[in-house]
Amino acid sequence: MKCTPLPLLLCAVFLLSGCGMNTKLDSLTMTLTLGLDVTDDGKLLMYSSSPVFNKDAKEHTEVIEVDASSLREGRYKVDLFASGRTVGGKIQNVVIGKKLVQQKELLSFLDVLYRDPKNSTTALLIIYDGPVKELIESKQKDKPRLAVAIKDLITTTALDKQTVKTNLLDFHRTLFEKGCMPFASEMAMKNGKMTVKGVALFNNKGKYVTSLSSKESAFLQLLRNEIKPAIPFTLRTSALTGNGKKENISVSLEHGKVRYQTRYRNDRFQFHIHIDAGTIITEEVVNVDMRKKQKQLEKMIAKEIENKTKALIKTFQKHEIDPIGFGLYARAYEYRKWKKVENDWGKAFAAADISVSAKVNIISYGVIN
Amino acid sequence: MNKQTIPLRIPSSLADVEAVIQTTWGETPDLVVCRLQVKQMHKDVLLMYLDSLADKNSINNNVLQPLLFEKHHATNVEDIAILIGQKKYTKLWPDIETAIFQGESVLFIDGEQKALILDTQGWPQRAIAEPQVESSLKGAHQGFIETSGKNIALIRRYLPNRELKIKELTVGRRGKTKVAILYLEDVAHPEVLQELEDRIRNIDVDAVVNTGELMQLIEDNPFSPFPQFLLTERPDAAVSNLLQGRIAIIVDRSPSVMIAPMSFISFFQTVDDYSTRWMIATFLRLLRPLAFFIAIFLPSLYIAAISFHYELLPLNLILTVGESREQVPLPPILEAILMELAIEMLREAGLRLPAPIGQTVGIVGGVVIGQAAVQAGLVSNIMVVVVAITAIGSFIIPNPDMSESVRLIRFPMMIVSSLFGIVGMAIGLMILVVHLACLESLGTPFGSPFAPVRFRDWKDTVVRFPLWAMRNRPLSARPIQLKRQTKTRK
Repeated sequence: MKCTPLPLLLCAVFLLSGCGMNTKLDSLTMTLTLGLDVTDDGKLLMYSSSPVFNKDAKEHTEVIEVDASSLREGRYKVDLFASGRTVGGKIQNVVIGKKLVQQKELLSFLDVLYRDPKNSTTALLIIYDGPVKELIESKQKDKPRLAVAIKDLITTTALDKQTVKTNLLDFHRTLFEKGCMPFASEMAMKNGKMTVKGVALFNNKGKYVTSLSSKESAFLQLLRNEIKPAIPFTLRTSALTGNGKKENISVSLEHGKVRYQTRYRNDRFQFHIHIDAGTIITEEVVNVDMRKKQKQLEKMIAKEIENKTKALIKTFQKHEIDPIGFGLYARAYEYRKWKKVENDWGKAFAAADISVSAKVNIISYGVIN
Repeated sequence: MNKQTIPLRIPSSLADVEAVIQTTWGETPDLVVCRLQVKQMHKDVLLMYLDSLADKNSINNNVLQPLLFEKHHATNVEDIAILIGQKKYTKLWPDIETAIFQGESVLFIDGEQKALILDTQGWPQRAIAEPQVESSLKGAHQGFIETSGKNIALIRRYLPNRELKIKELTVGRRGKTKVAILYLEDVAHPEVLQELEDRIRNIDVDAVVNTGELMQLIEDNPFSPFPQFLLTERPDAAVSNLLQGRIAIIVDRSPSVMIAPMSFISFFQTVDDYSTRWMIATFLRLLRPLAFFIAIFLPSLYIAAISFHYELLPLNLILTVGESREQVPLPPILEAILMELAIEMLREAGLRLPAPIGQTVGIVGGVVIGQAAVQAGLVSNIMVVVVAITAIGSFIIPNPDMSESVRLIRFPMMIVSSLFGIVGMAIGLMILVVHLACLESLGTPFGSPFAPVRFRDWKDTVVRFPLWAMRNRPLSARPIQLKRQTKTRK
């Protein structure tokens, strides 16, 4: 080859165009946590929390509050305050005030986050029970930067199934999927500290309906067949000691199978859920030899699972929401019947007969006798 | 031609010879010319040699002693007893000149039209020592030296084989450097050999001082940043290349031996690869291309990431980078160029300075670059880490020529990435790959076995198969005898 690489390289480089938009890290106001809330008189508030990289700045987090009619408009207003260019490529958390989602359908507010590809769609969606300002301006001395702290809190709590981890894409998908409905994690402030409250549930319009506690969250995920790595729960019972005093037994559901049977009978859908679970006893406050009562214990745990899940499903049916995704099974097994009700699945789901049966197998009692 | 007219032929009378010597060899104080009478023939002779290049012991014991004291009677010139095996006769002055300058001594005999050239070479040379640049853990500890004869001997020790042929050429009008071409006749491709020979014969320069100069004179693409021939100072490396069907070029007075033709991937292989176990060798070989890419692209990736694609970095890394850049006043490209230039200067300084002062450079540089620059707020901690990893990456590349090319390419890549981010880097990478695929070494593809693709040769590239599995020589040097071993293991 008789061509030299350097001129060729330069020619090719200078022919390029359009990438001149420099986004220098130092001159960015990177929104890491985006807050959305509504005032009592219906005005939309937008919060942006971004890190400050400057040795002269006393605070290393900058919080900007603006009132806006939409997110994009709000960002322009944020730009008026921010010292750098406001960008949303690294948004970690989108915190929505509970009041807002109770009043309005969420999707239209989030539109810019999905439409503009420069925005991150893997940000966690979090519903905040209380004024968002309280969370976003909170300074927690024993925590890292707010965005990291919130994200870590949700991620690790979701690992022990006390809440769910829903990012913007998950929300979008479950919202547009006719056979299931969206849910997101819910936070609150308790004694000046932020805490995970449980799960917020939405209907298929993206409007908040109801919440689950962190304990119920575990069973929601069991029903969704999201067992890995384990689902821990504690039950109180007096059945083992027989002296009427209730004692704690903690169980960790390590592996299991959740099977759904779908039928259409008597003008309604019928679902049967069979849960086959392998569990480990992780804590037992009462001192009895459980090995002798293994069968009894297994039945008891199975009963507990059945009760909790049935109660959960009842709640869902009452509110006509389907975060588990029964609609997907209905579509797969009874397509014609599903087709008739797909646009009003909530109602059809509420009318469905749902039964749960569980079988528990204790794998281990732990490493002590 | 010289001002004095030199006769082409040697005159028969010694007086005429002396006259010629006096006119042509003025101002050569180390030229010794002595007239003496040979006892064997009772004839006058003239012995001439260069004091500085000839071995005086050999002249005294093997030449002068028999000439002066041997009583045996010789009837003609051929019978004169001299204790030197390698002697030849010549009738021409140019031959005499060449011989004298190579340390041989010349004996003119009165009344004869021919002179006797005696091999009494003995110029200053150093002992064979451990290779300085390419050290190895398991390879031989003998390196090439500045005498081509010794270097050929080092290679012959590995290949006691008649097929090892040596062609000797002379390069340079004044320098008259002896260039020896070594090859295995039944393995090396004759066309490649012919091409090499033609290129060397076409050189018309004053002198070739070093192998590196010869390499540049016969390269395929002089505008490429990459070396197209290998320079090695290890006999075992040269031999293993000879066995692959390549050709070794030994330049007299230079301690490095050139290997041609080469492929790109061979620059990332060492002799040790073959003497360590194949899994370890494979791991090390995977490490080297990785280091190649790190050494070229890491600073540009850093620049691209923090001036264009902040989304690329995970959140915690962004925070760390942002915090470490808090007090840096320079844009990333200047920061990177400053540091890269500093480390290049440091490296060059350490290379040229004598060892005792070299240490000082290391300390000063280490403190300045590692600590003071960061504390003064000129550069960020992350940049120091990037520069350090880049430098280590370029050190891992076993061949110094290739390592230097990599260091050079890094700079245009940094500029491109500061202008266009990852897009620029991608274009840079494409140009690099295309260029490597287009390069040739002595007319054979430089990119082999990747471009053109020769799957069978991949056994000995970024991985190294067990030795018993590599039954064929690589195709890149176009060997005429492909098979090198039979199946020794099932």
